[in-house]
Amino acid sequence: MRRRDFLRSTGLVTTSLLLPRFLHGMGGAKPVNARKLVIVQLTGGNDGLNTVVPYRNDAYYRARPKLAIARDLALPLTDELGFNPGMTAMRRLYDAGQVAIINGVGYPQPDRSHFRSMDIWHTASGSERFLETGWLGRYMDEQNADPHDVVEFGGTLSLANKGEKVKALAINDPGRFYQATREPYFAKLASQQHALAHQQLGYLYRTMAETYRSAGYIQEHLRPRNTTITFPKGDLAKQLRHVSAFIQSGMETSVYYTSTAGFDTHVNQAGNHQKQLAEVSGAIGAFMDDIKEAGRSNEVLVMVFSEFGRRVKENASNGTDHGTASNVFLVGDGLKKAGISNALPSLEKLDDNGDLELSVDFRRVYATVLDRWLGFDAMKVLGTRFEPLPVLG
Amino acid sequence: MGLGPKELDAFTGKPYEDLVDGLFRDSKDFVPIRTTHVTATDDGYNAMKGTEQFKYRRASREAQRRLNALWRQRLISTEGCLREKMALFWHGHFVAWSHWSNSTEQYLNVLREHALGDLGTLLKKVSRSSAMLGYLSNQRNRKDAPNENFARELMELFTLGRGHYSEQDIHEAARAFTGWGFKLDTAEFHFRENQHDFGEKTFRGKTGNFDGDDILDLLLADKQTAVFITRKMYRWFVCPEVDEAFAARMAERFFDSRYDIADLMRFVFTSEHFKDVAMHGRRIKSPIELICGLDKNFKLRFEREEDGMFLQRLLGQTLLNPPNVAGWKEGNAWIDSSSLMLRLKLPSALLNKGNLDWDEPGASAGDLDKMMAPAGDAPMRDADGRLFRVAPDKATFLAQLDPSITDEALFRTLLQVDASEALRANVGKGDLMERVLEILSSPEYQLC
Repeated sequence: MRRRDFLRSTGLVTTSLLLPRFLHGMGGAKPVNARKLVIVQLTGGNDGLNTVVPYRNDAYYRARPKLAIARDLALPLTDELGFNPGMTAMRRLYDAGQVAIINGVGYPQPDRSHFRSMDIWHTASGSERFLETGWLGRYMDEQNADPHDVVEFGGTLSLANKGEKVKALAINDPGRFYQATREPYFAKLASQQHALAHQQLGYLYRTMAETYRSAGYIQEHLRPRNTTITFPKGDLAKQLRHVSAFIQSGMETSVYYTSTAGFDTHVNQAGNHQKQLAEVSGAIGAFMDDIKEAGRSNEVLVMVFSEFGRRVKENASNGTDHGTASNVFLVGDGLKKAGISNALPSLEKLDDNGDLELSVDFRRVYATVLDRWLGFDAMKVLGTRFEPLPVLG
Repeated sequence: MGLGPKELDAFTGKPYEDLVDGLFRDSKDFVPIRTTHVTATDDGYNAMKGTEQFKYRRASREAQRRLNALWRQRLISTEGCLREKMALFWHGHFVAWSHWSNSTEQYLNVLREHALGDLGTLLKKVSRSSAMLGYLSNQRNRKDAPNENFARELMELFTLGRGHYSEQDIHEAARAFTGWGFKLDTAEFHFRENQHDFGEKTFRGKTGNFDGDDILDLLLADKQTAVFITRKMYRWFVCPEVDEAFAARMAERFFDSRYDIADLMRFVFTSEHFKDVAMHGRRIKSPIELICGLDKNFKLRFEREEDGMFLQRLLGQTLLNPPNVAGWKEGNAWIDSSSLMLRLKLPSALLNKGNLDWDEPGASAGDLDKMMAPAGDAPMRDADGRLFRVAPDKATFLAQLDPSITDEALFRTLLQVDASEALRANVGKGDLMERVLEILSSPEYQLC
């Protein structure tokens, strides 16, 4: 039996799909946020000190006899700090006034477990609290958003993007994603929603219905990119290319979430880390060029973060172990104050573990992008007042 | 991994306790899984030219694939099904991974051999396995430069759980494990005496010249280990929302029996709590449970060995290749918009020559994944455009069903939960296989 016959024999192919209104979208009266936030997550704990290098700091060279980036190889940004030599594209953006570097970002009582620390960043909790929803999930919950208001590229959905009521869309390839939801049998199942007493089953049917609707929205609006920039190879570049296409299509999605792994450099860090950073830097450079060519560089802000930095002192395996505070980058044309936003935490006064003390709570960064970029009351997501940083106006 | 219709019939009418006894009886014997390996000493490997090392790694990767397929076969066999399912639980708990197939095989057999034994032995054997020592960097844990990776995960993920130890405990435990390593050619534990810190350590309020085994014993002596692990077992075997009273009874029982795993599982399976119908169908099947369920009933028979593994990766759970040391996030975490659509489409793709023309959610599951199966290893579509070449045996399955079986009876055979109105309304009037396929392609089928 061929698949086509199977579908035909079920009598579903010719059935017109009379879907309830909620499957078609909520009437479309929602104002579209012209500003887009693009998140780049560096998974594994990026070594902030070898990313933004304190190339005149003796304590840095003492702590890292093997791994320190040589003074003459760092790409100088100021008299104190320079980029890792792999980050030529980011250096170009920096020189054009498109990069703000926030140093020493973390949270009090830092947790050195990847999973816990990533959960803390994803849920915007303190290290003493466990939250079940992500910060962007609550951002969607508060607005009763559609799942496609936040789109994550790369397969599985991060905790950051899971709300109580709304879960973001996780997709790799938008075209195939659409096709799969349009199988007539699935469309029928998705359209006949009943209140289900069974909790897990209700969750599955709800997810199915939302997926159906959001896939339809994306299919209807997505257009190929009009721009000519060639993106480099690599996973992150591929994700950012998709993001560019979405933005150029005028999609109402307000947040895009991308990620790339391989930053857990316990062993043989030097070459690997520089290669990883070059890939990230090249991908972001191409993306910003592409957005600029599309005439939308005022609408896009990129935020780059990792769950923690690494220990100041190198380990005995030519690598570095889990640390604490690290740097966050904001990249875009709309920065009020580009450049180095605050000094690097002291390399002389470390905590009991030999890690950096934090200077900026990461939730201040979230408050900044929510309040000052997306125009959304950060209190509703963070629960507490966090002072936005002056990098955005 | 579920029962076939014939097996289901065979159980009907028998006392429940006999069924449970049968499960344990069928899992009494342990037969190791074995395949062939390339082996070299550490020096031998390091002396190889780049191309030779590449060949060596490829041979190792192929052997890992065979191990994956061999274990999958065991998981769907009725003989030993409880042992294998327990081993799968432990694989997601004592998470390890290795480049090297001989280490992987040894680790897998430790999990399988002690799956229903006592936790202490399992913990000690796993901690000494080369897969674990390599995965959590203990091979590099030396007295002059302790590496805390294993010590931290040991307490956070394997025994006590978060919040029950201090950073100081981690530093001291790491010192106790210095010198625990392995040899590449044999994959056997090797204690490097000159790298071990024989000094005094203070761990969780006790002071002594502790070695690694002492640390493990101290962790087992803490009831919190029983509490932490039984809660996880509850979520895995019973229901994702923990019933605190019952979980507490499990912890008591486990601790009092000195961590007898079989005793604990028998206690759970024969409890009124477990038998309560409200507890049925509360878990979302993991990808392995989903694949093995289909495989058990329909004998998927992949024509290419690598397809079986690629399918696992696509769904987000590859045996012997966990995403990270915390293992797979279970429950609702398996489901998002993308993975749900893929799961719903899977039965028609595998059983009905359906084109699985779909995204690859597992493809970016992390670096380890990339190492184990680089992009080039993904199977290509064949001339008919099929992603998977499978030759499922539908006839044997259908022959077990009464040809005039009602939808209601089909639901009861294939599903663990009552069919929703949506499903009832949409199961068509086609032939038996079409109706079966529709039920398999439903949200209901995702639950167990």
